[in-house]
Amino acid sequence: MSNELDELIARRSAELFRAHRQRIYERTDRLFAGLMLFQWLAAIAAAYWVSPLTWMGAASRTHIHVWAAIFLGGATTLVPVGLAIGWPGRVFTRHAVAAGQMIMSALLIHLSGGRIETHFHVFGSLAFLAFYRDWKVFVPATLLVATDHFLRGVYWPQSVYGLLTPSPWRWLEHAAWVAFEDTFLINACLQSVREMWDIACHRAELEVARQKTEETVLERTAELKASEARFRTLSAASPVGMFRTDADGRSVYINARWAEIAGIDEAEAVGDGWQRAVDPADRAAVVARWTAAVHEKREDEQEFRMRTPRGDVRWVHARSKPILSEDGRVTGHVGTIEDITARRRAEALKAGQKHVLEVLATGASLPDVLAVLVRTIEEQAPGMQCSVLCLEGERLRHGAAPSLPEDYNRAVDGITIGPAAGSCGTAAHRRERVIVEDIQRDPLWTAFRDLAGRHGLRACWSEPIFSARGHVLGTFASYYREARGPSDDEIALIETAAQLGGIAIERKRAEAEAAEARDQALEAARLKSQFLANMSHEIRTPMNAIIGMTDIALDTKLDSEQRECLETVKLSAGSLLSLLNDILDFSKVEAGRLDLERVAFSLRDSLGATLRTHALQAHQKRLELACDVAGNVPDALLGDPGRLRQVVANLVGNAIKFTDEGEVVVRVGVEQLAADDVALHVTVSDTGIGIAREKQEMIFGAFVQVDGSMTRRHGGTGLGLAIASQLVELMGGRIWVESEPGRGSTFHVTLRLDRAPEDGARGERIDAAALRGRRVLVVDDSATSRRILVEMLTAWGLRADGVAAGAEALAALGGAHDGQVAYDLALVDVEMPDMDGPALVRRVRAEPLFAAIPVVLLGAPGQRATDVEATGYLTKPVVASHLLETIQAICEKRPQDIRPRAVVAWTGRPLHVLLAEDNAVNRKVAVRLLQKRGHTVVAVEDGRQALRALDRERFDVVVMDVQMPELDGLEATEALRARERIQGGHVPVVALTAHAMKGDRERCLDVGMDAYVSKPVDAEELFTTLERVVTGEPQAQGSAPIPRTDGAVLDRVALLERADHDPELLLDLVETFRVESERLLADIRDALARRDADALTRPAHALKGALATLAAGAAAEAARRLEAIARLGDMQPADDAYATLERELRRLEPELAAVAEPERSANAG
Amino acid sequence: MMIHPHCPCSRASLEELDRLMAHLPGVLVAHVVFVKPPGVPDDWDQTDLWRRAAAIPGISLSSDDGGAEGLRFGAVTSGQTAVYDGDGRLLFQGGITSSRGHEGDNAGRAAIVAVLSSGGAAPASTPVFGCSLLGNREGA
Repeated sequence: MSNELDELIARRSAELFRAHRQRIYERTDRLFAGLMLFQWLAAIAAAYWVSPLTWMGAASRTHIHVWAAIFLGGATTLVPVGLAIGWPGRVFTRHAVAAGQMIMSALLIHLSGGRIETHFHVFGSLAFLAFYRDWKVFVPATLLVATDHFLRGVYWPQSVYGLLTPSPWRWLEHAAWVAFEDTFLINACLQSVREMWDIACHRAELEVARQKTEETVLERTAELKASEARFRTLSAASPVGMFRTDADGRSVYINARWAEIAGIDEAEAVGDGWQRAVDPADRAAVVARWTAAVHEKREDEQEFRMRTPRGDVRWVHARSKPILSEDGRVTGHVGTIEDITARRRAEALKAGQKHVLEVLATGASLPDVLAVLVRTIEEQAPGMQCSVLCLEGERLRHGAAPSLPEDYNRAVDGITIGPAAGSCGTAAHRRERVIVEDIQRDPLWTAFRDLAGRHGLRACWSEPIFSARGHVLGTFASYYREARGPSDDEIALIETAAQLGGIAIERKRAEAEAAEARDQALEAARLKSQFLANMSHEIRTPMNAIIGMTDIALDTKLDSEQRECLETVKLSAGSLLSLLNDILDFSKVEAGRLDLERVAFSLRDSLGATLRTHALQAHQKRLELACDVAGNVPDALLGDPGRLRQVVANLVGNAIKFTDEGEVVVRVGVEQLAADDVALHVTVSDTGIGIAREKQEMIFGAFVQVDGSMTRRHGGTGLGLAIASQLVELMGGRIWVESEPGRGSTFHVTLRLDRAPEDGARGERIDAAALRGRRVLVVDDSATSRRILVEMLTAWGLRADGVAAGAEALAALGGAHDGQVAYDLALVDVEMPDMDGPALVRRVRAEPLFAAIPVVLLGAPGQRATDVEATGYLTKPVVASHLLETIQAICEKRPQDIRPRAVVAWTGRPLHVLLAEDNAVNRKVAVRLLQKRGHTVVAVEDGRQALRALDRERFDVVVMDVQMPELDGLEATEALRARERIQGGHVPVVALTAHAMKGDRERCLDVGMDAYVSKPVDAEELFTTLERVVTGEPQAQGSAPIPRTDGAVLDRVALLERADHDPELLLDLVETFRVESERLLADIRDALARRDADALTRPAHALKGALATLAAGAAAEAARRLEAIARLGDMQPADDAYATLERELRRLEPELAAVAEPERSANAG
Repeated sequence: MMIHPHCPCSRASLEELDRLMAHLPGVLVAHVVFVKPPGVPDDWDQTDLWRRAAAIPGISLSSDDGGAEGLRFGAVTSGQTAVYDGDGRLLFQGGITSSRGHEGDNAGRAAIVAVLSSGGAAPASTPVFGCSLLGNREGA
């Protein structure tokens, strides 16, 4: 490569050298041509000037010198000049020039007579000849000069030296001078030639280098051009717009697609021209973002609108990227723009469709929906004005056309469709799209052509709107203000619009039909519901009479046959009622109309009440019915206690029904306990006949019995378990059965219930701390009951022993006595083999060693023995709270002083009851039942009479039927409560109603009733309820009602009633309150100091309960207010509330002292 | 010295004369005769050569109308110079340039100097380069 380059340089150097030398030769030839001509002319001029004439006296003629200058000079000059002009650069030319010049010198010397000055012409000429830079020209010149001097020196010395007798070596001297000059000139020529060679070499090198550079540049340029060509070819064919900018972001190139999208050409887009193509609405933001991207030399991506000069708007997605040079500098940006108008429009259209459907779904009217549809479509196609017409019969009615002139809309409203009825009328008639590009010329338009023209409407395209079944529902029309046909996009748009219109119209029509159907159905349902309610009332009322009167009849003296008949009547009536309730419940569940309540309730009380209703039934079958609620089961829960009772009652009822001997045990345990809720596991086990495995799945289905014979044998509708199963499901729980035929069944129910705040009053009531260490003897032949009782007592900290029979009990009591550890109490089952409960009591009382020991009998309802000195009596299954309260009552008094307390099944205190009941039979039943319990009853027939009776005398309680003429129970109670608000006092009201529908109870409680008993009246339920409302026990919701004393410091009467008119109990209550209130107030003050709302809630609530029990209304209200503040969490007004509470407590103290002091004095006395 | 008023070569002769006059001050008395052929205007001899000659110190000028004076000295060629001693003896005759119009060393000047320096010898003669004074005789 290097050799080739060297050869190339050498070759090129030689060429350049030769060319250069040739140019010098030629140039010097031309120089000499001019010089010699000048020299010739100068010689002629000089000759003419010096000696123009030669004289002969007065005559003269041209001097010979002039002629010599002309002719000899011409001869000497013209030949070499001719050669120089004709053959410049030739060797012979320059040699001829050299010779001619030397001859000219010789001639000059001659003509000047050999003047020595003229010899310098020789030297000068030689010097000029050196311009040739060819040393060879000096050879002939020098030889010529030497020869001339020699010859003329010999033959004509005067002509060359100006002397007649020069030295014979004079020629040599002259020749030597010439040779001397030649030496320098030749040296100079050679030097010059070398320099020329060097220059040639340098030039050659430069040229070669330049050539190489040029070749490289050309190569690169070609590559660039090819690349550019490829880029342009690619970009020209690219379906996306492409652009390139310089480093400052100014456009230098756009491809055809870019120009097509923007509607401008490359020349317009160059520099910042592209910005004009951006829609003015987006331009500032786009340019700012682009400028930032260029400034920050980063990639960019954005979506914006472009607007073509024609006004078309297109959405584009633009991406750009900096172009980096090899050294990392940004030399420009390259990017693409993609036309996303279709996507954007599709998205917008989709959003519009969604919006239309949403509006449709919100229940907007059809014109509103259609108006939204029209606006949505108009937004998609600027310039388009749309309308929807709805077909009614053969006429098109105005649907929506918000952008069309009102009078136009009015005019076309109601047009009849036909084969030439404008765009819409024709489209609806033909059932196909009609495109009228120019209304003014189209024959389809006749009637409204002028009107359309006046409003500037020129084109109208109409799309028929079809229903899903292909019926024409109307038309969707698009108007334009210029004569034109639709594009494909516009066709698609109006098709979509027509589809949406179809959906809207059809949906709205369907809605209207559905609304009409729903109204009819609702009316039918209302009538059915009304019928059901009426039927319920109408059936229950006589049933109530049948059952009540049967109960009364059964309490009279009857022979066995009569009793059997009546019992059959009662059983049948009960079955009918059960069937009625089941059917009613089942129909409600099936209809999805059974709503669950969510109220606070006490689980143990609720279960206890449920089981008590089955106690008699179990007792009659001599079954042991036991309830075991685990100690860690929270008592205060939120839920529907009625439905929970229904489920448990159903399972217990079934268990009793299908168990002939043994026991039925209800157990409640905790599966999972959290702060807010609890997962309960309730089991109902029996020792009955059991269920075959293959039947176990079926029994939760409706109308299913294990077998038909059972139905006949045990009765029942087969709905009970189905209802229970559905109720459990509604409560979010699960129900299943485990059973083995012949060995009994266990029904499991799991439920998750929210926890309610524990009731402070209840907490006080079941405070077992004071009983810790007391010894209790449990006497029960049922191992299960015995175990449950022992565990219950042990859990409270008592020391309990269990024995199975009376003999063992006597031994235990005796043994214990000998061991100096007396039992503090004995719990004795009434029914035991060998020695039953009453017999054991008699034996105990007869035994002096332990005759004084308190004995509580546990038995079925109605088993209360009056002929034995039992300290107390509790219904089995034993409710924990009742048992605890009973033990508390007994243990805190001396056994010999104890007397039956209110906490046992019934206080025995006669009540003065006002009964308001319009039905004479029911009234009679209720009066008799109440009177049998020892109460006095005033019976009235309606609410108005009840109010008058209340005016006349004071009642302990009012039992009020809800449905009564004149003034019903609800209104009467409202009136009573209104009066009490003014006059003070609070008479409890218990509602009696045949209404079993949800909401009855709420209505009763809302108007101020205290409790609710469903008819037909269950005696047990009625008495339990009466006891609860009279004694002020907590409601089912679990909170103690605050006595309506309306600011009274202390309701002494109420307090005495609370204490069952028992002075000791009253004293006890007051003392306990004083101790407890001190502690609670300390807690309250502490919580207030810490501004701790949570810590404040509990003591305030507990204090409120205590005060309510004391019937200290004003202070209770103050405590309630403090509790409410604490629950809200805003402690701001708490200090004021506490101050009020303290003030009320100070007012209460002397009142309490006044009440307690006489009692204390009496005791002391 | 006989001078044709228009002879181009005679300027060199006047220059040589000037040198001689400068070289031999007080020795030579020079007289330059401007020969006017018959029939020429009066001022025909008033040329540069006249003014040059007039500028040479110690020179007397005269105009030879019709050429009689020239003929008397037998001069036919412009620049012909004749040197006489005080006694009227011809010491030198001929030209004092070495060639036509050629100033510088020349035999005529050398002869004159030599004659005047040596004090008399055989009269010398040198060729005269100039125009014919009257036309009837060719100048050398």
